[in-house]
Amino acid sequence: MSEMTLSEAFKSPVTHARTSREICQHYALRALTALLLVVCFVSLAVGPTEVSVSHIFGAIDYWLLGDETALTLRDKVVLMDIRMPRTLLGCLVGASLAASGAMMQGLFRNPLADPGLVGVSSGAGLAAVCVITLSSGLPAWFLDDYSVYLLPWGAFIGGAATTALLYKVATRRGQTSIATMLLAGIALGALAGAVTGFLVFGSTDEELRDLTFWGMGGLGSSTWPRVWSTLPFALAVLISLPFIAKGLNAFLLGEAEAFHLGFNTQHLKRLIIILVAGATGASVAAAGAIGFVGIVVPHVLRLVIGPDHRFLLPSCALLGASLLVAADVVARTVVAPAELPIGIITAVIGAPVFLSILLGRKNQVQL
Amino acid sequence: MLEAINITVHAGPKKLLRDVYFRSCPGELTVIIGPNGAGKSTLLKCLTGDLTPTTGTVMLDGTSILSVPAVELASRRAVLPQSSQLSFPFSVEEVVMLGLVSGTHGLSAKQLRPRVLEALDRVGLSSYLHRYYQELSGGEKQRVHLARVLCQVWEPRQEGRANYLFLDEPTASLDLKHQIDVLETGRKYANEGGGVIAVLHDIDLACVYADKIFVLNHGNLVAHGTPQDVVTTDLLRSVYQLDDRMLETKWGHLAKGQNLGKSWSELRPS
Repeated sequence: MSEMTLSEAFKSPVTHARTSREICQHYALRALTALLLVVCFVSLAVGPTEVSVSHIFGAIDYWLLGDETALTLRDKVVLMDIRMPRTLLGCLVGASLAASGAMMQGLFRNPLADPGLVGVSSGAGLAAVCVITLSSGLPAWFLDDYSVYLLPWGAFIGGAATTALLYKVATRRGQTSIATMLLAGIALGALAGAVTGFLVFGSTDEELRDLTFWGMGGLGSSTWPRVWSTLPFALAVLISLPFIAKGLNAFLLGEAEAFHLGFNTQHLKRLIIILVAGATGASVAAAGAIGFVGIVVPHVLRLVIGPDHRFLLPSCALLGASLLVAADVVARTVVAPAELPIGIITAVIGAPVFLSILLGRKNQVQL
Repeated sequence: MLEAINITVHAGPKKLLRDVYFRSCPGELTVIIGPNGAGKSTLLKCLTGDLTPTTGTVMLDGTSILSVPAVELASRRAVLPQSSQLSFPFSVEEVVMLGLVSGTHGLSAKQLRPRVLEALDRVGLSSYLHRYYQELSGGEKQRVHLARVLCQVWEPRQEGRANYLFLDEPTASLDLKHQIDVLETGRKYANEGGGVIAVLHDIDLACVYADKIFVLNHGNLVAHGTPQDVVTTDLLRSVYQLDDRMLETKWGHLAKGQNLGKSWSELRPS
């Protein structure tokens, strides 16, 4: 029944798509790591206060080795208390958003699923707002020290509840309906938005200032405690990437097919929902709702290196981190000393890229 | 041996399967037939371990299939789905490689690559290795998945035990040649000692290729045995509610008081 003998198949010319994909997979991680390092360096170097390049290395020296002499006091404050946490938080949030976008798209078997688009961010935001308004009853000493840690956990629970509900609504007999998912996401997002609005309506001025932050998104209030409170959620995602990659690949065929291929689909689903909710929740808690990173980064990479999650997931984390740190550099320099909300930058970068992908490679991207 | 012992499946108040018995032996191609809604897919899901029957058990070589871990089960049986949606730009090779994702028995990717090529060759798609899966026609996609499941349970017999291949309406989106091809692939797998279980709508093909036929109707097992014993015009009249005119339209003179199963199995390739 063969249309071609085996030896011919071995000799047949390898098409362009495959060779370029293999080469890209081979170099992607190295290239993206280099990109991230460059972007981080720029982020440390650029800002309203001039800092010389030698002092940036001095700061890294100071940070890693505790070498106090390498820095002036002014540069130490600028680099260590302002730019370093801001850059690190940008990396954590960007990596979390992009990786959780890719995981969620795998879980829903659809490249349109994105935590921001289907209401997970709204759910996490609502929970965060609940934490802010409801925690005002707690003693002041507790809030001063711990509210920064309370927020990500609240947002995590909100995100997890939304994701689980969404999956339940959109999946019938192992098949996830994209239309149901998007519409249910819109409904859940609207509901979360309404409740958030209600809470904002009844809040004090001080609470209001905290709350407006969620809608805008930005790394402007980056502090070390905020970095530490986000770190465990981001690390959980990054560490688990190699373990869920194969399962996600099988999952793309369908839930029943993944089981037939030997994966415990219930465990896998639960794990992904928890990881995505944790990463999205912590990101929302740390930097507000930042759109487009979770959908554009996986999409661009899928077209370059293909949909194999073993390569896709780590690449997403690296490119997501680079994108967000770069967007933050733009956000705080174009209208300095004021700052743009970072969501504007990611949308301006993301939306055209997204559209050009859709227009340029129609036959490969079916939504 | 894969055996379902008196399984009953409830869905709410409705019984999808009632006290059904099923058996597939190594070296045999077993076909499940029946009208729409007879419970064929439900039975298949119980046999593959997807669905837990309300009562009764499914035994694989004497062990309840529910107690076999998913990874081990994956190395013992593969399932060709009716249709599979895949909305990501995988190449044909990558889809077939998914069949090797767990049951690799310690072989490296390099050792397994020829298996991918040979499987694609077996379904007649060896020149499609680097094509995008999404660009293929429905029938070609189905054949890619056949190559994938063949890769998954490559050896029909392993360590003295048979592996099983499940084909859920494998001919549905295929043209005539490839309908016969897929059943001959199943036939070959059975001849080499594996077990093959197929759900089919085409009774002619079922009679030609099957060793045993199980007939379901309204969730009951109404007949089982060799095609010669099972497939008679009386059965078609009662199960499919065909009248004489319909029988004549489909089978002409063969239908007149004949044993269809016997006539067709004479065509069986030796």
